[in-house]
Amino acid sequence: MAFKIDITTLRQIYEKLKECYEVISPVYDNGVIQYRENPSFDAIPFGKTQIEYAGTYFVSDTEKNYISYVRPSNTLKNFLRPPQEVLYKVYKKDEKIYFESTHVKRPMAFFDVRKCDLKALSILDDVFINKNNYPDDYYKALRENIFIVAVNCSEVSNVCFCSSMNVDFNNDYMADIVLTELKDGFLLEVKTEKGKRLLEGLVLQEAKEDDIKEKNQVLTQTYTKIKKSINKENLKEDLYKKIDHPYWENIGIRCFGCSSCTQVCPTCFCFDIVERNSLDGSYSERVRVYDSCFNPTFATVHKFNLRDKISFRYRHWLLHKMAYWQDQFGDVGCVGCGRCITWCPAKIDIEVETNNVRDIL
Amino acid sequence: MKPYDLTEGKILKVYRENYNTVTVNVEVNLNNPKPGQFVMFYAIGRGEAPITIADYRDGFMVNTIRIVRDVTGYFDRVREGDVIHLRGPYGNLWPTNKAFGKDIIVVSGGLGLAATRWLLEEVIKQKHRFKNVISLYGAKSYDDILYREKIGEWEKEIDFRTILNIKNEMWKGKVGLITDLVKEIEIDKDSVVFMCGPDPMVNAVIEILKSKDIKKENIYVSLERHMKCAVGTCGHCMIGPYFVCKDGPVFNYKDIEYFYTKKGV
Repeated sequence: MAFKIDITTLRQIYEKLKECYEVISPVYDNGVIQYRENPSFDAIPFGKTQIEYAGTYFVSDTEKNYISYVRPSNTLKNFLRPPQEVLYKVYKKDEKIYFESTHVKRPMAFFDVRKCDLKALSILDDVFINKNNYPDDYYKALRENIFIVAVNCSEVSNVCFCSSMNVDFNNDYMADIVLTELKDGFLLEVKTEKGKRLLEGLVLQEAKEDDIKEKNQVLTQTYTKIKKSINKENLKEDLYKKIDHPYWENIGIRCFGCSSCTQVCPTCFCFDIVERNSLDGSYSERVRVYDSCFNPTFATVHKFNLRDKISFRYRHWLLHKMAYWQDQFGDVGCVGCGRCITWCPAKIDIEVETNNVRDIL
Repeated sequence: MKPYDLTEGKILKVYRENYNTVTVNVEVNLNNPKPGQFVMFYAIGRGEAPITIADYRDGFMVNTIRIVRDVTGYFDRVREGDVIHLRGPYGNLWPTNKAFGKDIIVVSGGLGLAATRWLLEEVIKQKHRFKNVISLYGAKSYDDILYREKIGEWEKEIDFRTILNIKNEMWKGKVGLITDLVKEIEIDKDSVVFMCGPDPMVNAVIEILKSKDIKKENIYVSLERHMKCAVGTCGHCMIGPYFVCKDGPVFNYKDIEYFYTKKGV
């Protein structure tokens, strides 16, 4: 099912979403376009565009079209696997210990999710549910009640390289409805029953064949605009072979080990579980927080730090994304969204570094 | 099954092995644990730590814990009758069937003996299935020796040799490194080796095993890494593409050699 709608109808759809879900959509705030909970339709940064380079980010205005910005700086991970998540509340009473498991269930609707983030979501699903012998019930509880409005990109940023990282433009992944901006309006495609139910009661005009054609044109155009790419052929074998190469030291000198890349990455899943205690010792919370392989003590056993140099940590991160992930979950762990490139204060570019390592003989 | 739910266990006995190690007997119902697997011990307000299962029979588990910091420090102070919380079992097991009909060599260093204790008991029970059973144990000093009573029993059953790093008047046996013991044993080329100890020991022993023409695929190593979740999602225990918690802790050396021998992987 496909319809052609205008901006007024899009607003109606947004309002309908708000009736049943906690809507999460991009806003322009503090100079950054990012996902926020419960904003209004007017807060969507229509007509803005991001200028992104390694270590550089700013937002400017453009008059090209409505959805001229690209993916927000934060990711769905921030909502489905929050930075802080209480797993258990533990009470101590009369020398006995009681556990209370705290599953948060909130119906969330993500408005404006790009293909890279959808692919990242399917990767996280594999990590936490599908390819795990112990499916993560906390992630599952949040994951099960979401509605996704996907958007096909018509613009790209300088750091995007999703086209070479297994992101399929023609696949709509788990989106409920998909939007594509056309010259005069939007193409609205309905992909699930949930999506159909949402649109009930709205008067919509069926899309014509020309509209579908125009959408495919948009996709092709976007595809050709992407300049960066990584050759995936023999990527794993090649990186494994070069695991000892001195070039990693070169990166280690430049990298600050600040963990910024892992925090903005849509697929980085590593976590720590910390205990938050009351002073009298009668109450404790087991809190799951983001951790990063760039954390100096991440791989410490007793007093031995197995990755005691930044070059080791960077190598571990890059190899995990590009190579280990293939062995673990059968796919690369990078979706080419380029966030880690933009937000790296040392201007280290994962695409450039991977290609550099591959080009070394 | 929920990944982080804890079960209750009751401490039946606390035995002080030495100045920094305790052995606890815990009454707990686990789902069919096997030698080589581990459990996560929880201490309120302190967190969790992975502890190997040193023995398990009909709801009675033995664990040996080295007192290092927060979580293990808690088990320094547990008393008989205390209720503790844990989850598990996790990980894979020692593949004893791979050694049927062959020489089996169990090498353990320091606290590594805890990870091979149950294995040894099982091997002794099925002694007739192996050609020869040799166990080599290296400890730092006389005070570090674990399971003194058990070692006495094992010495009667199998070829169990102990070596100490540091000389002591009380010690009448050998003094040196575990590698000295590995050098002196005479074994077949198709022997199967099960090993647990600190990484430098594992590397040194493997060098000697190589010189004895033992095949890499016949060497099994139990590894220790930092762990938070034990179910393959927290990322701390990764060594190359392997999660020690779910793909290990027992690895065939041939599989991990490439990553294990690289520094910082």
